[in-house]
Amino acid sequence: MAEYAVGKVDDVPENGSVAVQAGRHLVAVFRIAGKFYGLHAICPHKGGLLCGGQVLADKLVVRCPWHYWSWRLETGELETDPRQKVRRFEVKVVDDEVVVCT
Amino acid sequence: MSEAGTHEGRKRARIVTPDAINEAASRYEIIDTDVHFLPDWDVLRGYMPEPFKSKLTRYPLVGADFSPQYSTGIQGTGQDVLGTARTAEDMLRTMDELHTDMVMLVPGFQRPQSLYHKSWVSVLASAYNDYLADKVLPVSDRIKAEIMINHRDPADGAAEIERVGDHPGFISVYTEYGGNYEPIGTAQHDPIFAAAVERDLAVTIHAGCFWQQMSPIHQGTRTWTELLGIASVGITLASVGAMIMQGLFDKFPGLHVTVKEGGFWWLPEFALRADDFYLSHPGDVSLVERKVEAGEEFLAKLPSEYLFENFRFSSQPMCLPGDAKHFAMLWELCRGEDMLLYSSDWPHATFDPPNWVFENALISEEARVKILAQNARNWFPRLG
Repeated sequence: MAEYAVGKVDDVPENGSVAVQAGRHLVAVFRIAGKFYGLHAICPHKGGLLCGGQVLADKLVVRCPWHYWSWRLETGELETDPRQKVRRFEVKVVDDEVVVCT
Repeated sequence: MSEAGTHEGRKRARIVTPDAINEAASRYEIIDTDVHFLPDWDVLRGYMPEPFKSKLTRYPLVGADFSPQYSTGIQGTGQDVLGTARTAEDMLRTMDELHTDMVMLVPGFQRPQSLYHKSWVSVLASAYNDYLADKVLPVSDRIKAEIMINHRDPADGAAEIERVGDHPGFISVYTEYGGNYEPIGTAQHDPIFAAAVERDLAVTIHAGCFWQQMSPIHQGTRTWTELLGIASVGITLASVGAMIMQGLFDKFPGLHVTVKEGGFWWLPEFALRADDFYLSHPGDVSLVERKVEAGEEFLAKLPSEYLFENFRFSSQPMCLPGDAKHFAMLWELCRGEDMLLYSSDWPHATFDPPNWVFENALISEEARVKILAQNARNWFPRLG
C-alpha cells in the first residue's frame, strides 16, 4: 500500500470533491461533513467523472454527471445494484493533511 | 507539484482537472450525427409570419406532464441536461470541448412535432431552417444540419425541402416517428422522399412523439425506461418495416435513411424474421400502394438486403454487454463496423461520448475511423 499526500484539508471543498492523480490511480476525493471518502474517479458506465458529480450528502452518494449512476461513498456500491462497484480508496487526515491510500 | 517524496515518506499526489473524453478523441476525425440544437424561442419567432409571431410566445410543451425528471431527478424536459446550444458560437464551443470535428444539428424542438396544428409545425420548421441558413450554417463548415419539416403534411414537407434544400449546409431531412401517426414509410410520404432524393439529401427518422396519451405503443407506460428505452424501439421496428415492406426502396433505390435513437442490436432479429415472413407470405406485397402503382408483385430484394443497404443507425446509446465475447457476436451480426454512425445525443440525458470506440479492444483501428467519421462521409451524399 502506498500513501499519497493530497494537500491541506481545506484544499478539498466541503460537500465537494477534487480529482487526485495518486500514482497510476485517478481518485475522486470527497469531503462530506468533515469526513473524507475516495472513489475511483471514472464512472464504469461510460467514463463520466465522479469528481464532477452531484453529491447527495444525506445519502452519502455521488451521482455521475452524465447518466446519474449513483455510487455510495462509503462502499463504492452502485445504489440501484450493489453488486456493481467502483473501487474505493481509504482517505485519512494526518496533521491537517489529506492522505489517499492506494 | 511533483510526486517527490514528502518528509514523512509519503508521495505527493497532484490535484488534477481530468478530461472525461478519452484523449484519443483528439487524434481522430469525429462527425457527431445527432446533436440537438435549441435556438432561442424569441429569435425563432422573429422568423415567423403573423399571426404566429405574436401568438406563439413560448416553446410549446406538448403531450403529458411526463419527462425524465422523475427518473433522473433533474428538473425539466431532459433536453438541456449537459447544456444548451442556441447559437453557432455555443455549438462550436461545445464541439471543441468534446473534440468533435463536425456536427449534424438535429432540431431540439421535438415535442412540437406531436402537435395537431399542421400550420403551427410548418411555421416552426420554416423558422428553424431560416435561422440556421441565416445565422448558423454560414459561421462554420464544421456545422451541418438537417432540414426540419412537417412530415404529417407531406406536400408541405416536400415544399420545405424544395424551399431550403439547395443550401449546402443541409445534408439531410429530419422527421420523427411515433405517436398516433402512421409510419413515415407509407406511400403518402413519397413527395418528401422524392424531394430529398432529387437533392442528394438523406432522410432521418428519429424517435419521438412518444407521450403516453398520444402513442398507442406507449400507453400505460409508467417509467422512462419503458417509454424511451423500450417502447420507442418497437416503433422503430414498425417504421423500418413499413419502409421496406411497402416498397419504398424499390421506388427510391438511392434513398438513404438514418435511424436515430432507435437502437440497433435488434438488426439480426429483424433481418431473419422479416426475410422468413416475406418468403413465406409475400402475397400481399402486390397490394401496397407503390406496388399497385408500379404493377409489381414482389419486392426486388429480400427485406434484410434493404435493411443493410438503405439504412444506417446512429450509435447512441451504445449499450455494451459486459462479456466481450457477446459484444463480438453482436458486432458481427449487426455489421457494426459499417452500419453505425457515431452520435452523442448531446445535450440530452442519454449523452454518449466516443469513449466506447477507443476503449473496446475488439473494435479495430479501421473500424474506429469508419464509425467516427468515414461511414458518415460515405453515407451522406453531400458530405462526400
